[in-house]
Amino acid sequence: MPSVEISVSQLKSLFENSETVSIPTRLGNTLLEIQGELEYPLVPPANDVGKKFGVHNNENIVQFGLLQLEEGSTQATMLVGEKQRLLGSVVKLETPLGLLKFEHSTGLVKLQDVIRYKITFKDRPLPIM
Amino acid sequence: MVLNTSALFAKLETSTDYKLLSLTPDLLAAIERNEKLEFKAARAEEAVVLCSKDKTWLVKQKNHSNTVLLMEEFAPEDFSMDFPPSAAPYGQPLSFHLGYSKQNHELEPRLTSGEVDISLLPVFSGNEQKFKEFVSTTKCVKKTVAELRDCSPCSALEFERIWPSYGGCVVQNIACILSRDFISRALHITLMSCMAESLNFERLTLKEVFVAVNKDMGDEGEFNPFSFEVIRTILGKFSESCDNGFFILQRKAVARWYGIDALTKCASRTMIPQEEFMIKWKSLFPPYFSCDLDFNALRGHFYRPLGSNIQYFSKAALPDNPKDRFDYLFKMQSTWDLDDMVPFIQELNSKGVKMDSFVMKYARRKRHGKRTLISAR
Repeated sequence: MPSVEISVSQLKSLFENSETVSIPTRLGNTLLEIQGELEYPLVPPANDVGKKFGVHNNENIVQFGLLQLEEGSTQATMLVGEKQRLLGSVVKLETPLGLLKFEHSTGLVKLQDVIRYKITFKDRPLPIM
Repeated sequence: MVLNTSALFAKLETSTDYKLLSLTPDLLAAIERNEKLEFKAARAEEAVVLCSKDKTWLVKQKNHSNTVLLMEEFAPEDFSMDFPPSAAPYGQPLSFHLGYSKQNHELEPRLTSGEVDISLLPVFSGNEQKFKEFVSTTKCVKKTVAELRDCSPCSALEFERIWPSYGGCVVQNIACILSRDFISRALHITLMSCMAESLNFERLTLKEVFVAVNKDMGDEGEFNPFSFEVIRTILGKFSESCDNGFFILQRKAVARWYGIDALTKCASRTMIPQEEFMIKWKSLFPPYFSCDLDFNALRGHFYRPLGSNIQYFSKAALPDNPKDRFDYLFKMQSTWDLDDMVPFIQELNSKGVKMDSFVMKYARRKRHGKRTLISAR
């Protein structure tokens, strides 16, 4: 690897007109952080009783929760599975994060987005009775 | 109160193609200016740096144990979900988000100085035949300057500055380093030729200088070591390049180069009085070339074995270990003026504390009027 150029062509329009910033970026990416492990199986179980698993674009996916954001507030609530509730917040990142995509087949690196906010859950989950 | 509820999904096998890079203000500014950014490394196993047009950042991977999911909105296909009863108060989700990549680290850039590794490059000392033989018989690095620039952990503008300062040149389309002796010869001839042609040292052009140097240089067909590239290196090393394409000769840099030459020639085996050295130093310059001789500019290349007379000393001979280095310096000279000592120990001060505080860790410090004297403990 002597050198690999980072392509920023996708972001030009973003910087040209970037006065509005929202939690999901204008390119549709959202950063979700949980201070802990979010565990789910790597293959769909044979007996999917709760109908949590499905397929999207030929890839297995799982529904792991519900996220609720209150408009005009930084509070966020997330239900994980059926038993746990997490209280969190929307925070502005001190240093924005660049989303890089490494395309191994072509050897290209693309800067795909700039993320300025994240939804973070720092506290222990609360049980749902 | 308006509530936005979203159903969260994640791919069971998330993509590993994505990484998050902290965008420091200077890095973000470079992106906004649409500057070319590239990851570079000298070799596959070496540290990766990120380079813009004029800056270099060392990239460190900072691992964490949090769950960080990159999510995007999507429309699930053929998906009949059962939401748990506990979700009832939150209402039906209005949107669906899919986690497509899990991140367990961030890339952190830290501003650093660009570097060019010249350790394995061939050395050209003015003899093309010998250079050819050396290149073909040894395992030295054979790269063009463009290839060297591409694999150097260094931005393009930093490379332009560092490369000539190391005496970097091109011979037979191979990037090489000019030997010290050859640089001295080429500099001397360049200065004499410029003066003979009455060129203005504050307004030199590469073409004019090349023509001046090559005016009376050998017959046609005879090998001439002072090629266009060699003159470019000499001008790059001893002058400042202006935006309008002119070069301004840096007389201080020229004087320092001649001073180190004078030290190696006149004071390498035996010490000589400083006054006698100054006369020998002055005698090395081309006739009628004027520049100020600042003895302090030679610090880091001499020591005073008996406290007054000076003798040449190469920094390369010093041990890397700080304690050993101080011991070595005090063996050569029992008491040092701090200013004379600093160039020999500066690189050991990695935390950047004040030098007179730094030396206290390994030596004894004594104030003598305005001077600070350093001796062994």
